Amino acid sequence: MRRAIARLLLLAGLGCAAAGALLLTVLAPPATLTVAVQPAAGSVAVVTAPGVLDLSGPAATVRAAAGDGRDVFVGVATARDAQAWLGRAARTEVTGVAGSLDEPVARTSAEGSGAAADPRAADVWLASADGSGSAELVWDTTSDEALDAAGGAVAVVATDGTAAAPQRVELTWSLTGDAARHPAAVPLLAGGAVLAVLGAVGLLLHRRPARASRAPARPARQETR
Amino acid sequence: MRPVRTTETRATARAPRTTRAAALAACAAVLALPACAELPAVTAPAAAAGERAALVVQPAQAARVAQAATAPLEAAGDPAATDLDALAERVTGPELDLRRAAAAVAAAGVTPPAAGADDLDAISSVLPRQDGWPRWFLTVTEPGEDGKPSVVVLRSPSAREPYRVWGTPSLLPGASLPTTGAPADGAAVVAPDEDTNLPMSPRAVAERYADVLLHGDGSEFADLFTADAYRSSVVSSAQEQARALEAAGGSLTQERTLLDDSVVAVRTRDGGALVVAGYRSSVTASGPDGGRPGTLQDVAAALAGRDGGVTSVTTVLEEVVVFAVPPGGGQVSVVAVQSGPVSVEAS
Repeated sequence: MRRAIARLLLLAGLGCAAAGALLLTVLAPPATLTVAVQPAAGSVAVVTAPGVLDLSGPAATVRAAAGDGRDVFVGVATARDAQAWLGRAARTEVTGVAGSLDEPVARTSAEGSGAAADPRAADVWLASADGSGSAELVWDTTSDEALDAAGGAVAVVATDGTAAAPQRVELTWSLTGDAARHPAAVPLLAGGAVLAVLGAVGLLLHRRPARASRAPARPARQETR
Repeated sequence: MRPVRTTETRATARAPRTTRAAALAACAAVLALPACAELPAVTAPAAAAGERAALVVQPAQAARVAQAATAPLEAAGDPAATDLDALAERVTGPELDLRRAAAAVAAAGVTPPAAGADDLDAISSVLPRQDGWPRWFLTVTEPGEDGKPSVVVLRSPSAREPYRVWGTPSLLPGASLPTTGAPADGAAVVAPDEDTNLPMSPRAVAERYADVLLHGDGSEFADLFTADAYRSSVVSSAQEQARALEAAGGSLTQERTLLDDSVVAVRTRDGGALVVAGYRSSVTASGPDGGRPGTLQDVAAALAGRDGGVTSVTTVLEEVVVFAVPPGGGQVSVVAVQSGPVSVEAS
């Protein structure tokens, strides 16, 4: 019975350790999280809600492309300044990410109506990038706490502020912390190793008796003369 | 021995089944576990109760904005070749009026007086903490060829419009700016009519100094301000002209008004205030009735579009003045000034 338990421990331990190793390698969550945002019809801008840029990792990347090659603008401003710049303009607000790590989906809502203004003319941007047809901005989120008094940092994507927003907008974060590593991976690996060692020790301590001892040699015939 | 053998046999027979079940469970767990990994959640920044207003611009943003706003001024080295339309994109208020006047004077072939700061590279900034618009902030420049650091006043009327250079007063000899909070800390805004812990409100400072410039030591407010080189030069020049004109039977009249919404202020580190104000002053010099027409000096002639046959001339000047207001009581000091003619009318 003890041998069976030891063997079970060994097998379970090896299984757990293998599972942990798999979760840390082959089955590990993706290194980055990317969501595509589809602007609502009539939106002249796509804006992230406060906290969205800080979703994960030390940086967030905002990419945008307009299919017709129009100029694309990507800017980051404090939430209050972005709100002041947008006013009541029609916009698509990215409020979070739903779905799973493998198939994330942007949660959005459509707000406002009407046009904004050319974002390039404003000085509210903490950082900005623009280009013909597409633009990309990497925002370092490590210093965003300093912007808390202004509501944090948000990203704004637009063309000229009056025409439709770029049709392809992507937000990408580097996954860190629990999102970057499965929370059960290390406990499985460590726990599995312990179980496997216990099982191996158990097997050693309760070794099956050697064949010779189970079938003792027939005693030698005693000859009497 | 037989019953024991029977038990071992059963245990041995059960073991593979148990092992297979455990292996299956482990495989299922491994397949199921990745699905348990959760997306990170959005955490909105929580604004603390009673938190100070935010900086109008972050320090790095201020440097970038100031550089962009002053670039057209740096490019307009030669007043005669200044692109005034391009300048208006990033320059406004007294600075634009003075640069336009300088361009007009230069176009007439006359060397214009210095319109503003000659070096606009920022070495420090004063960043108010303020919500909403209009907004403003200051940068302090390196000393230029004139050896004097300048204060660049930048203003933005709305979130959709850029900061524009509104004035570039230079420090007076021997003067220094009062210490304000470090750029990252910002400085609290003092409303134009607020006089908490101040000898007078920022608006009162601006209005009373205007009176001192008009009436000199005869102003009832003269003792509220320390003596300064600009006040001395304005008052003595006006008195000399007035004496000369009155001796000839003519007259000199002056008036000075605050530019609309020009008074802005921030709290200094010692509890006082740094105040910026803009003025438009007009000085009308009239000769005696029936007197012989006179001629205008080069700059005035260039701005008036005529140089002779003049019996009356009105010169409009614009001024930007920076004050250091002490905490509690005490005299207010003028620390930086920009001044120049923006138009001349002659008849």
